[in-house]
Amino acid sequence: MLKFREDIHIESNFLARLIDPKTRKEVPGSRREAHNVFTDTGRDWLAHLVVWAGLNTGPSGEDVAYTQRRLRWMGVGTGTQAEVEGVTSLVTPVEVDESGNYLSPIQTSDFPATKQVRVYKEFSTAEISISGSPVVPVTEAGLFVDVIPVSAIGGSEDSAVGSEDSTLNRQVAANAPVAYKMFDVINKTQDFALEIRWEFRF
Amino acid sequence: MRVESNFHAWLSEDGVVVPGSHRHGHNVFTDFGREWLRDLVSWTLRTTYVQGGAAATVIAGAGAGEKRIGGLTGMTSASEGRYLSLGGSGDNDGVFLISSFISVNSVDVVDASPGTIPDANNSSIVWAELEGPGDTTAEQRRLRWIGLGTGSALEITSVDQLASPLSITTGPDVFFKVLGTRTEPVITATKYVTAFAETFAHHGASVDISEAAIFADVHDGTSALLDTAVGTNAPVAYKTFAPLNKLQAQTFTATWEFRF
Repeated sequence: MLKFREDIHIESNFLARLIDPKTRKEVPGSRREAHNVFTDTGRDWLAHLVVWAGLNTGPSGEDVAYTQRRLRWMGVGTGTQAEVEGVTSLVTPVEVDESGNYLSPIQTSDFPATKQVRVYKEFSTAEISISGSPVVPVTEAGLFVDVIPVSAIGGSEDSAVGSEDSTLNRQVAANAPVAYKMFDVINKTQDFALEIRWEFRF
Repeated sequence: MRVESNFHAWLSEDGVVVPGSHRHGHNVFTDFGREWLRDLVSWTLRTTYVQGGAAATVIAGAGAGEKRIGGLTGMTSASEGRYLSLGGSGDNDGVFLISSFISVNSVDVVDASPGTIPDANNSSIVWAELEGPGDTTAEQRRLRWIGLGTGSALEITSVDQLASPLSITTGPDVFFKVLGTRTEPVITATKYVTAFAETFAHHGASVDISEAAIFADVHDGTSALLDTAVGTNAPVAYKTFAPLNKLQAQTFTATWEFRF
């Protein structure tokens, strides 16, 4: 049997913390920083992202991709589960805004160094801790891939669901993340913003 | 997360493997490949969806360089400057700048390249009004080519080309071949099998093949980014091995598998 060597180790680091919107400083004791798990969903996505579905098979003779989905959304929840590759959804997803969405768009992607990409999202004081749920004990987070608009720029395996011409329906709780992290509870209130950073090193 | 990859090559003649020609091994994912993967997974711009539908149609009335799109709903003067994606037909999909608000049901869009609007799919064009020009990425290249060489370089991440690229055919020289059959041994893996049945006669009665590399690229329908006549392009993965002396009648086959 062939033994495969690790040829490329994708390290991913996760950071979550509460930010005081007045001072822009970190709330003491709120920092959660650790590695996370890249799920089977994420591995399947990567395996299809790096290859072509067809060469010169598009309407204009262009190459056709299996998927155009890339890192796009973040979601959080209040449940816990083992950080294993088989994670298929957050345990207890919470709505992140008043529109009933469980996923919120990543704000920025940047490249802090060569071979590194970092995605960032700051859930505002009004997000997560929405009316009816002023205090939310956040204990898990997921990172999701998607493309908008699917109908115009999606890959051959990408199909639109929901109402946003995207492959994920943000108003459905149980979307599958490509990366998942569980952590000690952070109580998100309307007094603080929740910042989440996800960094991948290739 | 580990991305594991493995390389296997051999010679065959008349369908029979040449004894002693198997070359197994691991390979190196280059710095160039890591940069490529970093860019590939991320969007540089994420657009905001405003609204959409599935009954758009191309109607008359637009000026030169524009197309008038009807069958929409909820359009307002604020739609001007936003973007309209038209697609779902499998033909001539695209995202177009809204130049003029006409009515709640129609707008004019800039058609910079006449003929790109999918007017063959009238009344059933899937549309979306977007704040921006759709999600945008800096990287569209994907695994596309394989190249061979007669040299040898240390299998380290900084490898930036084949040591001695080997032209596969000549007149003009072509250094790369489209990757062959792709399979998925498991859902999180991808495997390419590429056979070189070319004689390589322009190199003599036989040629020593001792290195191989995989390259990422994209073809937009007109041309690919990578020039196959240049042997010094940067690979995303590289492998060197004990030389295989390929005779003209023999086939060199390489398999490359990536597991995520």
